[in-house]
Amino acid sequence: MEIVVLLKQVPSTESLVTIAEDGATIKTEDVNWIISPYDEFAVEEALRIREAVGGSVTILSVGPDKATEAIRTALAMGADKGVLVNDPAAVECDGLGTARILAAALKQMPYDLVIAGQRAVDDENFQVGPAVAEFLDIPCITLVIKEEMGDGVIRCHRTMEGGTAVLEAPLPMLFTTQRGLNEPRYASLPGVMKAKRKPLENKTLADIGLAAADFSQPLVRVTALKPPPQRSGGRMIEADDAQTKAAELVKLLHEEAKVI
Amino acid sequence: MAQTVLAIAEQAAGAFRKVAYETISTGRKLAAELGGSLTALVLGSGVQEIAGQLAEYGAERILVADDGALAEYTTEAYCQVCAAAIADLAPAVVLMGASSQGKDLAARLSARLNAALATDCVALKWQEGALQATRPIYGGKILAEVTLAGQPQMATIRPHTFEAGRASVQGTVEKIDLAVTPDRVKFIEKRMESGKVDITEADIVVSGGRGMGGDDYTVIEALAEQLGAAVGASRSAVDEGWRPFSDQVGQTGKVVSPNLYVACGISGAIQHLAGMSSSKVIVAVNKDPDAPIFARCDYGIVGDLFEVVPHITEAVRKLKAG
Amino acid sequence: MTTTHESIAFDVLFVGGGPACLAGAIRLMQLARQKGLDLEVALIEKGADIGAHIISGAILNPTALKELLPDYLERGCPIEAQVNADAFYFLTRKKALRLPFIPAPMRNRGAYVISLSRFTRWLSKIAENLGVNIFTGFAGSEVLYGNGAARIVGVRTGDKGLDKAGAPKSNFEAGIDLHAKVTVFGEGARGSLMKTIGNRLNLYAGRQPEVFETGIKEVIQLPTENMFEDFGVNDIHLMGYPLDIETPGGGFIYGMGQGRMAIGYLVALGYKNPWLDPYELFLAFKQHPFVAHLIAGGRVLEQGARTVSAGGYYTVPRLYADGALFVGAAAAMHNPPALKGIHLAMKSGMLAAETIVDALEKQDITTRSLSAYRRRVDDSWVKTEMFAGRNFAQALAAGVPLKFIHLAVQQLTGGRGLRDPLPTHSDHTTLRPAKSRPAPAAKATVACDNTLMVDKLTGVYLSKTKHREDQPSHIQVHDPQLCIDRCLPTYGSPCTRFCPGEVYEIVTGEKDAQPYLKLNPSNCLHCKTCDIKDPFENVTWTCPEGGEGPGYKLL
Repeated sequence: MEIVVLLKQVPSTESLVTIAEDGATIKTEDVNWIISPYDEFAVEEALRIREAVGGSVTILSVGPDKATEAIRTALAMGADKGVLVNDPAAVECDGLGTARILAAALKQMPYDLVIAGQRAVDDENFQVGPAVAEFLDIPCITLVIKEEMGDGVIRCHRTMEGGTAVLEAPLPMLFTTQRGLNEPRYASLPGVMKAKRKPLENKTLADIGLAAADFSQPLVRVTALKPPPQRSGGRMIEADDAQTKAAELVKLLHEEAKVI
Repeated sequence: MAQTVLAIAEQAAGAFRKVAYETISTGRKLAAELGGSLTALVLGSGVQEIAGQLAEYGAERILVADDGALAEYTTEAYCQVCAAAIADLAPAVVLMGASSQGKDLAARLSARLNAALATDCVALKWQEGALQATRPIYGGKILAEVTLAGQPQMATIRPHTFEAGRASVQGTVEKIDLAVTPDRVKFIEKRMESGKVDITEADIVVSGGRGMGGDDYTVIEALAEQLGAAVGASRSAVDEGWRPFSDQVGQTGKVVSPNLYVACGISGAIQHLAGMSSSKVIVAVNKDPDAPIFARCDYGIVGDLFEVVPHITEAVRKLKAG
Repeated sequence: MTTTHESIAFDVLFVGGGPACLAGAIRLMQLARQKGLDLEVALIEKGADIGAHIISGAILNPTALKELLPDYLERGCPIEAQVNADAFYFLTRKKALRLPFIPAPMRNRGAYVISLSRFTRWLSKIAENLGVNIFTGFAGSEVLYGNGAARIVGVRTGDKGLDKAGAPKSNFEAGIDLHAKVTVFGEGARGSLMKTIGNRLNLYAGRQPEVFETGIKEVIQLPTENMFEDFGVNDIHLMGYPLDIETPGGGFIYGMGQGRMAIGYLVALGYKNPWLDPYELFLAFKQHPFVAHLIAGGRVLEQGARTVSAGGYYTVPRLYADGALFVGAAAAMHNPPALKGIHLAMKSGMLAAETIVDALEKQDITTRSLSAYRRRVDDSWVKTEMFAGRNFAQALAAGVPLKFIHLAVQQLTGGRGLRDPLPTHSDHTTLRPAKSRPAPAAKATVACDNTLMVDKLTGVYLSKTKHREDQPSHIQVHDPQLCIDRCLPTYGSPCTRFCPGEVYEIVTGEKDAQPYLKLNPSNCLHCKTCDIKDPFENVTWTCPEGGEGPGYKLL
């Protein structure tokens, strides 16, 4: 089983995310970088499938030089090899652009199964996985919380509002991960040592048959970043008794905040 | 050329989900902004009967794709129908809800159509010939303003964020012809179980803290069930062994950003706030009027949670019933 | 459960990713290259990254750096600023008196203001390029002994993936036995392994007790228009208020350029008043009119805390054991009157490396050959510098007015003073009973806006410390009942104050209304104050799962 994991390096969720002077990007100098947590579930699941049925796990990422750290971490967890599409023209991509790059890279390698995070916790796009599947013309199941590998097919439990749907797809296919799928393993110390010697290939867009010019006009462009509105302190609901307060609250949540 | 907004209205088991009305309503607003019209699209099996309801939210033209093959959501079948409808209508904007279905469908569709997509939007407007969207990124720590290009321009809207404003119009319901090829993904079964949503994925979270005083979370669970919410806990409650680690919200637990976060008996130390402050609306119930949570919430009630929360549950029940 | 531990052998193992071990590892590889030795060298660091747990003022005296990497500027050494002028103040409650004279060891003009976190990250890249295997996120959990338990043969790393009860979870990863011909310990002040070795091998016999300070530091982003940059001096030291005259300590403010400043406050842990709270002192310091003026309009970007080994020359332990060398702050390498240790730490690491290469070359790795490290230290400027201030911290620890007499005589006698060595007390023995001091009416109420004035828990947040909750507590309280039966009535539970991370709380049970000790180990900043100051030595600090703890970037 040839498994490819799509992985993105992102700022850790504890990082102080501050907006840069240009108003449209974040300051990256003081950020701690990690593997996007949903991608970490993908790495773990790939390793478990490989352990069960054999094969190999390849990590595929798009990013700058720094992203090799995240790939090395995945290699230290046990993945076999890494491929990084590292090209200045790829940096400003939108979700579709990234998906196009990943799909082009995938077309150059063997795969039976592709696993991706449901979304990266920086851009929060929820687009790349299904879009890669579309470009490869393979089925895709998103938000998978459990999978069972069969003979040439995979059965996935997909989370949805109020429950799960069980779906089955033939290989090759792509699925994206949901929290609860597994508990990712640690990179072991011998794993870290071995990871240094595992193959990690850097590719440019030209290497995967794409032209930088194709990515100069993203369809989605970030024009500004802003901090979310600050809460200025709660509106205290005053009333004589708990029942009236509760009724008033529910009324406000329904009519003013419109969250229920 | 008349500019059309296509709003895909999500239904489940023959009833529209609330986000469907929000989508229609938002689509109507955008159609007005771009000086065009709104078309709704409903997919499912046996949905012809309910389709007309969308007119109450402003859908003038309602397309219905009614087919046994669409009874359960599968990506490919839904994608085919939508792509065909879009090819036919050439809409400027395509909208749907950022539900598990909408997010899945929008992503695949955007790739098929090579269309710009903004996901999980909290604000949308049509300006200078393009869709301008606001969407939370970095777990809600930042709001991004994005501008879309090309045609169509797609967006998924965050549930419970846009108004589902009634605007009764005379809607025409049209059945569209279908030729759905079987999906490579086979639907096996659906397992509906209430309550066990992971707190990070839930739309609403109700949490109990040290003020619970013990492991009896009945009042919290009752409210959560009524709201369709997940149950969370503060570190104190988890430390005391009242709740499992998987329920812990905070810096060292899980980071959540639901539409509604109800903090009961939680004082609101920064470590807890770090895990939930990007929630859209925060409600605090605490008997200590000086609890820091009250400075960081939207609505606060000072009182004994064991008295207040059951009343909230009851009020929600009445609201849902009425 | 019996866990099997895989083992890996290296020639040299460095424990700790601070300036001592990194400089040592770099020197080792430089020498190995020169001499054509092919060495397998490893360095482990408990932080998720190099620099994640590192915090210091910091003014760098570049002497050792120049020796190690003469082309450090070309290599892009991260220097925040160069000291343009020094100022030394004595604070009263309302006023700041600028002293006309700055003691020679504290004159820093031309030295560098650095972020030690950034600096060590830079060093680690150099070490890695020279072939050092750097393993971040791996903590040393125990020392491995061999040869009839007399020889240190390496370190076992900590297990990962244990649940609260200590049982393995599905992702359990057993620790690894890292074996080495020589292990170099550079864990920083009060290293958890160093403490066990010291006790077992009697490294501290005949030494003055090692004494410490707890420092709390922030990096503050100032507004574009600010008083500090107008002030024009980027190296300011301040003593006096809010500390009483009996307790040694003081504050610092360093300019880092780009509108950023480093501000910190240190208190000697030999303090006597059990009500003292270093964090509250830090807040009071920041609110002093003089300081408040300089930091006005700022926003705290990062906060952290760490203890400093402040005793100096006579507290340096035996620097070698069979199979091991001890470097940096873990070995009390610090110049108390200069308030500096980074250059000494680096130099000690470099001297250890030279000793190791000699021993490996001669294939004579014995206690005798390793003991040459001590001689190297004594023959170097490390000794000269440390010897001059050998009784300084001990003089400061004396009462009033005796301390001033000691200091004056030391000034005149090249550090010898009235008694040489001047004896002092271990920090855990100095607390006076709570009833001997006026208890503060209530917890000091410094108003915190959590932007410029941040409370303890917000400070913990700004340290970016993180620990998985579902694991055994890494803070071991040997007898929790003692905390309630003896410590609470005698000292009023000083742990609830000396810990800058609010790890310790005394809470009253809901059911029985009895007080008990509640631990919040996930707040821990890895400063080690509790391990040092607890009056009953009832706390042992151990490493949590590797990769946890603070996530410093700027400190």
